[in-house]
Amino acid sequence: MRDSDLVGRIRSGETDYAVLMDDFRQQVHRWLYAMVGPGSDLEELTECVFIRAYSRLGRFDPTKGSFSTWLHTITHNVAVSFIRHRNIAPESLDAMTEEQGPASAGPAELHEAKVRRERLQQAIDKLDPLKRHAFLGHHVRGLTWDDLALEMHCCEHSARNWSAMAAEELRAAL
Amino acid sequence: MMNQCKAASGSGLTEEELVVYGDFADALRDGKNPVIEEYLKRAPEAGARLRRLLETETRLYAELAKLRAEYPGVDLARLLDPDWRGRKK
Repeated sequence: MRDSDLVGRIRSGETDYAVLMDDFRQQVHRWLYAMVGPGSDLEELTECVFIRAYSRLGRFDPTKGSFSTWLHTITHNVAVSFIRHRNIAPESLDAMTEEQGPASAGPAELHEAKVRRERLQQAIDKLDPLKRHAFLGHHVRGLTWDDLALEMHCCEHSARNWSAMAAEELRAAL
Repeated sequence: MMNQCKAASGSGLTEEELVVYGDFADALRDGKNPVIEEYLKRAPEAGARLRRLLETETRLYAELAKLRAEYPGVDLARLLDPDWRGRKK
């Protein structure tokens, strides 16, 4: 069943919303991980995305794009709201002392951040595709070794191997 | 399935070292602060290479945390993956 058909069935009450949540839960979790990083907030944020999506399901228009793209936009908005809130929360100040966002960054810091980002991007670009897949899968998208192995059509041992090799090659870029 | 396993022994790490490496990387991915010495105790035969790898992992995750702070709300997978960057919208 296509996603737009599934949304139609949920709107008409033929299918439970939980079906859609089951289909997209892992994907939303990975998007959030890539945006906000690790932490116990991920489960709560994932729920927040689905609650927001449910309340706006009537606005989804399949002629304007896929459901996945629409859900990604909602996920992005939830992540940005969370990050803004986190950055001003008093209990987060200790963790933020060295990790201030661009709002407080001057030209020198912005330049330094750009140089670092480009150096890492270039190093990742040079990785063999399998090593890159393993590194981005585990480190950036937050996949378990099990899920990564499934995605790469290999065993967990190999997934760890590719990732370890990627890390060794990326060392020079740090 | 498993078609990439044959080629995946290139790191030269033993099975035991790879398990330690994987668990250490999991802890970092989950936002914990794993202590390298504690993990090295689990692989007493491991050489300096495993220590260097775990140190690299720590630095890599610190770098990713910095990027997330510098690019709030940006999907790092899209920022760092050349396949995503080259993709037309």
